[in-house]
Amino acid sequence: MSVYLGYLKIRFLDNIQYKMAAFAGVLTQFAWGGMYIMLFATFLQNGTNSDMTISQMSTYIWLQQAFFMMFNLWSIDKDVLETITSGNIAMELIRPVNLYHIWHARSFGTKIGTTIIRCIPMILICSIMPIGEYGLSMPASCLHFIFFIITLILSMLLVISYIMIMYGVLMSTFSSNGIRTAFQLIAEFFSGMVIPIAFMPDFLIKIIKFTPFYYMQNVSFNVYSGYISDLEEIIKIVVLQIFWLMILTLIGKKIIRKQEKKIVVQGG
Amino acid sequence: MIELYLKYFKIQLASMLEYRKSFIISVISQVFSSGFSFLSIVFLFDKFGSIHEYTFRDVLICFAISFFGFSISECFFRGFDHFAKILANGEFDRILTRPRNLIIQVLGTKIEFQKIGKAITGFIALLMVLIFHRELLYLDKMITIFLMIIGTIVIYANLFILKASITFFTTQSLEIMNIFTDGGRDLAQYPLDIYKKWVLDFFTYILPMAFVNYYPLLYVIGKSNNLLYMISPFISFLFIIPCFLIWKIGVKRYKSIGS
Repeated sequence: MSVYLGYLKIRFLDNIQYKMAAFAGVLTQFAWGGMYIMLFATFLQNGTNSDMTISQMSTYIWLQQAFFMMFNLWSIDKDVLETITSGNIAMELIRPVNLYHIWHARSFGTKIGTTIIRCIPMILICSIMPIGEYGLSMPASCLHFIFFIITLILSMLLVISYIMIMYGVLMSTFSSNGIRTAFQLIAEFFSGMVIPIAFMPDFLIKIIKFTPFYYMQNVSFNVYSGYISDLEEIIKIVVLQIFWLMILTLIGKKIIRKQEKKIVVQGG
Repeated sequence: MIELYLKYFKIQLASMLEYRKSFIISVISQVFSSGFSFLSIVFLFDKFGSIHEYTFRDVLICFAISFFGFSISECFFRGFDHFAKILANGEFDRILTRPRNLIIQVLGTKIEFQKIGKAITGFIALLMVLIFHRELLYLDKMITIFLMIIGTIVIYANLFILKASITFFTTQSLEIMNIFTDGGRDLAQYPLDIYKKWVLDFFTYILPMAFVNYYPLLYVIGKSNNLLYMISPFISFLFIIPCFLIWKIGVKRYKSIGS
């Protein structure tokens, strides 16, 4: 456990160093958020086919932008990928610690670090900007806020367990870009990063509910905004998040253990 | 000059084809990534029907041209997009010592053929619109669409050069510039007047994206009969002047930073 925390802390401290990059990132996130809110607001003003209000949609988008790094599959620990291609993985393997745990700690630390320096300024500015229903609203209630935090943490762990599966698959390939893009595209689209899941056709929403992607970011943002407000449903969501977390972790561990056995160190 | 570029082109193509499998996978993933953007428009129209009096057809024209133009620019002007790297590793010093055109040489450093994947999606979307909407098949409308594509390529190419020129002053690549390149592409998937008024103003007076994307579109979809709108993509060529000047100033005050 202390080894795990050690790796996590190194990655975390390393990533909160890049304050200028984070500042540029925040500006970009604001531009993107504003753009999507304008677009979806125009759609919502036109049609009445969605049960989401403009305020709920804006809150969803701002939260999505604030926690962009948490759910972005590109912002992962690059060292892990490099250890695979450069052969440094041999060094990791001779250490008496579990490879899955090291990589998990590194990814977790990176995620927390890159997310925290971006989300704090974003949430502060978003909530004080005087833009009415286009701004970040307060959580539906205190209880909802607590559930928002719980689902958010579970979402993050879920994303990391998904990334671990990706690492496992990448261990046996040399050109990682194609597979990485595939993993990223699927997760991005079906977890509601391109358009909110609530704006997708009903039949597709039903299908996505049976995949882990539904439980990645969509649920926690919607719990915050009050789009999902039924307590019974929220409890159900938390249970399903834990269920998927266990499944994905098991799959990831299995793949990495299997790959570990047949890995060929190419050099380095 | 063209001969030199063709030589670069051949070398880049040959090196790309060395890793054929990886290349094909990359192209396919590009097709899928833009396919998801396309799908999101389909879904939004499925849910909401129309946007600001624009139909699915109108937006599809916008999307196709925006994606096609952007990907072609991205494919050939990627060297400028990665200019910070060229500065940092001293590659630009080597380029300066050669008695050839600088821009051509920077262009030659990187040609990303896999971006063609995105262009393919844009092209298919455009073909679909034209096949299902015969009312667009008039010579004047086809010419307008062609001009829109050319104008879009010119605008993004200039934005990439501008981004590179700013790197002369900051030495680090500015992520903020992506708001105008990637952000511009995403914004221009829809007619620009569906956003707030200042967005259209910005893209008319400061960054002339509206002249390749919005005004000619009005002509193509029959919302306006103003012939000036038809030839408005030519205004994008004016954008070359400030971008080229900033590049020139940048080159002039360049001091080596790499090794």
